[in-house]
This record gives sequence, structure tokens and C-alpha cells, in this order.
Amino acid sequence: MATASQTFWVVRRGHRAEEYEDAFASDDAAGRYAVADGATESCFAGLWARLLAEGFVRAAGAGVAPDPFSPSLAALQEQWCTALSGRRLSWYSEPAIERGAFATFLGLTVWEHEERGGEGEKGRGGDPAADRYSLVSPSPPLPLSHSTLPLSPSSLPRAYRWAAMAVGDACLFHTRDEALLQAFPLERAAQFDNVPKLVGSRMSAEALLGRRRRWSDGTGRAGDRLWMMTDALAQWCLGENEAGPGPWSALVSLLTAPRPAERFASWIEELRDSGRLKNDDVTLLAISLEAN
Amino acid sequence: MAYTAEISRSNPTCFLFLVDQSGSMAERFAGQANKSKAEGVADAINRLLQTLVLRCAKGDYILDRYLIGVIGYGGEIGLGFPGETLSGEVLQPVSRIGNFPLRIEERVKRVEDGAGGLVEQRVKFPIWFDPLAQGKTPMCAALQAAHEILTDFVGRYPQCFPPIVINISDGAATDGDPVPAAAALRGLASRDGNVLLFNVHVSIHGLQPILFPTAEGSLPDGYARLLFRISSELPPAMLRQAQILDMPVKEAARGFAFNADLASVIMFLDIGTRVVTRD
Repeated sequence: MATASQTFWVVRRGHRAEEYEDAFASDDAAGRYAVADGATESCFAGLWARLLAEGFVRAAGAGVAPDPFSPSLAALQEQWCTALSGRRLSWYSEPAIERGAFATFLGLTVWEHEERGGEGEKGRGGDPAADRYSLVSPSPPLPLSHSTLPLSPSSLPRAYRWAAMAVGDACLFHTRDEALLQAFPLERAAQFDNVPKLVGSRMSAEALLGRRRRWSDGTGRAGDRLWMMTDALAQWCLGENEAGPGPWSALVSLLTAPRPAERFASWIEELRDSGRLKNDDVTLLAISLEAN
Repeated sequence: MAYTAEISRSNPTCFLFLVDQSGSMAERFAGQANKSKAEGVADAINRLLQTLVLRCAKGDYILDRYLIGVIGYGGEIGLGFPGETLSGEVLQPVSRIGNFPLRIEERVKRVEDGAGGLVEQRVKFPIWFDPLAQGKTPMCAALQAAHEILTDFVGRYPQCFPPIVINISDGAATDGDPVPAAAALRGLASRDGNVLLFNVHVSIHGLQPILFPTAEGSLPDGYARLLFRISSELPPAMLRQAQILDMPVKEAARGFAFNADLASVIMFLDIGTRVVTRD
């Protein structure tokens, strides 16, 4: 297995587990991961977030489609509508369903990368990774904008590439030795507000394909970690990172705690008590790039 | 910072409506032809309640982020909603309000057809209040009753986002000067700030609607100016949300509407991720 992942989630304080409106999905074998966050102010948003996250991860076999959503967004939207059909609607659900559900979304693909001299960092032709890469990349792919991690075949027994797409404020952090290498799509705690870009269950593909989407990619090596999380925890992490040594060692210690899920839940409660973490659903997907 | 408390099921806030149901409300309403002020008042509160419910609708249920109460003042002070299902406590959870309107009417709304024209669309319009016009206008007594109810509320929820009182009236109090009672009400506070008192003036003057003014100079008469003076300023946190929504609200604007729809003020509350679909 090239990547290994652990997922943690805690529902907003005062809410029941079934009211959790974030979502996550992961497939280590395919190297596909997603988190989504249903917008507070929309109906059946948890269902929509789940459809988005699971739809993205399931699309691993979709081959060379240039975009993870353009072929499947309509199908996911259809699924959302179908799931709600036949319900007896009250006066207050009708307009909300007509408007649709909304969610932020972050999708990630990670694959092993075999360094080959002379092809640059984006070996495309004949590279089996190219197909997987293209799933989350516009076509033609963006140039690698984050060249802070030069790959050196001799020092990297295993090299990885990742590509991510985001709509809104769910974030991906790439860390090495408990230092932040890359943050995407937001890079500072002050950038968070309550009007993130959203994917709508009734939004046209054109609207989504417009300026809402953000892309990024990067290279990594065995031992690196990728953290995907929804906005409340992401904002806290960036704030901690700006203030000092960062949150990364605290996060790493959770992964190896005896009962990680319980430890995570109590840690989140402590942060909420201290007033440093917004009371919101929290989801964390921790991915480690393995040496073997 | 004040007015930043979370508004949630575990830390709810409160909306208290004071509804003028006095005899003068039978007069013609300038806002719309062939309508009495009482009808204007009923429309205003029904629309405000609808907006409050819709902001908490989560699909097939309503999240109880706030309690809602009503004090009617006309012949006498009437505490609570009309109708049997909502009788009992003056303050009721928003889910109960949403689930028990008196009835649901169908109204016709004109919406853009996407090709430059307008089409008529049938929409459901829940009714909690019917027009009522009888007796005098004991606004001072209504403000005092509100003070009592909210003293209890902030005692129960000391960390709450401060309660919002919305007084819908033609401004002609008959039981004295409402200024001191209004000041006492605005003096109540949770740890997050003082109670906000907003006013909707339903007037016979056919001026253009005025929303969130910063000064009383443009207002047509003493009643309007009085209601402006007893209105709270919109706190900075609400101004910021107005900006996010592209609503033109200036600093020092008051929570005051002259023959205008105040429902947008409910949109200025931050209750979580907003759906703003512009790019």
C-alpha cells in the first residue's frame, strides 16, 4: 500500500450524529480522497456532501476524463433529487429543495511517481500515473506552480505526486517533519468567512466550471503527510501555524493515540471550550505517504 | 466583540414582535393601494416569521436556533400567538412556529423568466396573523411586557446573541411617551451585547419606502421620527453581514423601516455558512 489514511469526525456541539453535514470518502488503493461540508443554510446538505465525496472517490476508474465533476456532476445532482422525491413536503422545504443543497468540496488524488530523467516533473506520455493525474486536473494540466519540493531520485526511495481540486474552504495541508510545505486553497486563517464558494445540487455545470474551482498539485516523498479538513479545524490549524510551531505535532500524536477517535473527539471539545475553535462539524482525513 | 455570539440550538437567541393592533390601523396604508395599515402590519409580521423559519429549515425539519414571541397591543396587551396550537408560552421554538401557521395561502409572485420578462409563479405564504384593528395603542405597556419577558430570557441564556425586538406600528402611542420604556428595553443585555430594538413604521404617508436610515431628517412626521429615535443602531457585526450580501447599509444605520420590508435584517444574522451563489 502506497498511502494509508485515517478519518476523524465530530459533530457540531449541540447536534446529534445524524445531523452531521460534513462528509468524507477515501480509497487508499486508488489514492483518492474527498471531504465536503454541507452549507448550514441549505436543506439536505449532508446528503449532498456525501454524494459529492463518495462520487469523487468512486470515480477513480473513470479513466482519462479531464474533470472529476463535469461528467458526473449531473448524475450526482440527479441522485440528490431522486433521494428526495416522493417526500411529503412542508411549506418550508419546498423553496429550499427548489434552491438546492450546497457544499464545499475538496478532492485529492495521490499516486506514486517514478522519476525519469529528462521528462521534467510532469511525465505524461505513457506514464500510467498520467491518467489518474488527469482526473483532477484541467486539460491541458496546469504547470506545477509549487516547485518548492525538487525531487531527487537518489534521496527519494518513493516519490509521490498529488493533485487537488477545491470549491470553497475545506483545506489540504502538506506537511513534512511537522512543518507545513503547502496549504490549499486557503493559506491564512484570516481568509475564512461564512461565504465560501459552494457546489450546488442544482447548479449548472457552467457555474461550477467557472471561477469557483481551484486547483493545485505537488510532489511528496515517503514520510510526508497530507491533511484534508473542513473549515473550522482548517482555520484553527492555519492560525496555529501563523502563531508558532503549528498544530502538526498535535495532529500526528492523535494518529498514534490508543483510541484515536475518542482522543480526537475530546481534543476538539477542549479546543471548543477554549473558544479557539468555531463550533462546527469537524472532519479530518489524515493521509500518510508510506515508504513501502 | 459584541454581537458575535453563536446562534445555535445550544445557545439560541430570541425574536420578540410587538404588533400594533389598535383602531388606527384600520386607516389606509400608503405602502399599497386598497390596503389598510392593519393588513400592512399582518403582511410584515407574516413575512418576517416566514424568513425566520426559512433560515432554520434543514429539509424536513427546522433547527431551533431561536425562540419567537409576540405581544399584540390594541384593545389590550395580548401575549403569544393567536390560535390554539401556539397558545401557552409566549416564547416558542421556531420549529413550532414553522409547523403551526394558522393556514397557508397561495400567492402569486412575479419572477424573472430568464429571457428579460416576468412570469407569475404561485408560492405558498403561511399566515400566522390576520389583520386586527381595535382599541387604543398601549405601546409603552407592550415595551414593558417585552422587558419582563426578555429579562427572563437573558437570565436563562446569559451568553446568547442579544434578543431582537421588532415593533411594528404606526407610531401613535396612546399610553404616554414610549422613549423611556424603549430605553429600558435596550438597556437589557446578555454578555454579548444589549437587546436590539428595531421598528417597522406602517404609515399613511405615501413617501418612498425608507430602510435603515442614519438620520431622521428624511422622515415625514413625528411618529416616524419617534420610532427612528427608539431604534437601535445595527451593530458592526450585522453591518459586515450586510456588506457580504451586497446590501447598501451605512455605518450608524438604525434598525428602522418606513413602509418598507425589514425582513432583510434577519439575513444580517450570522448563523453559519451562507449560500451566496454569485462568483
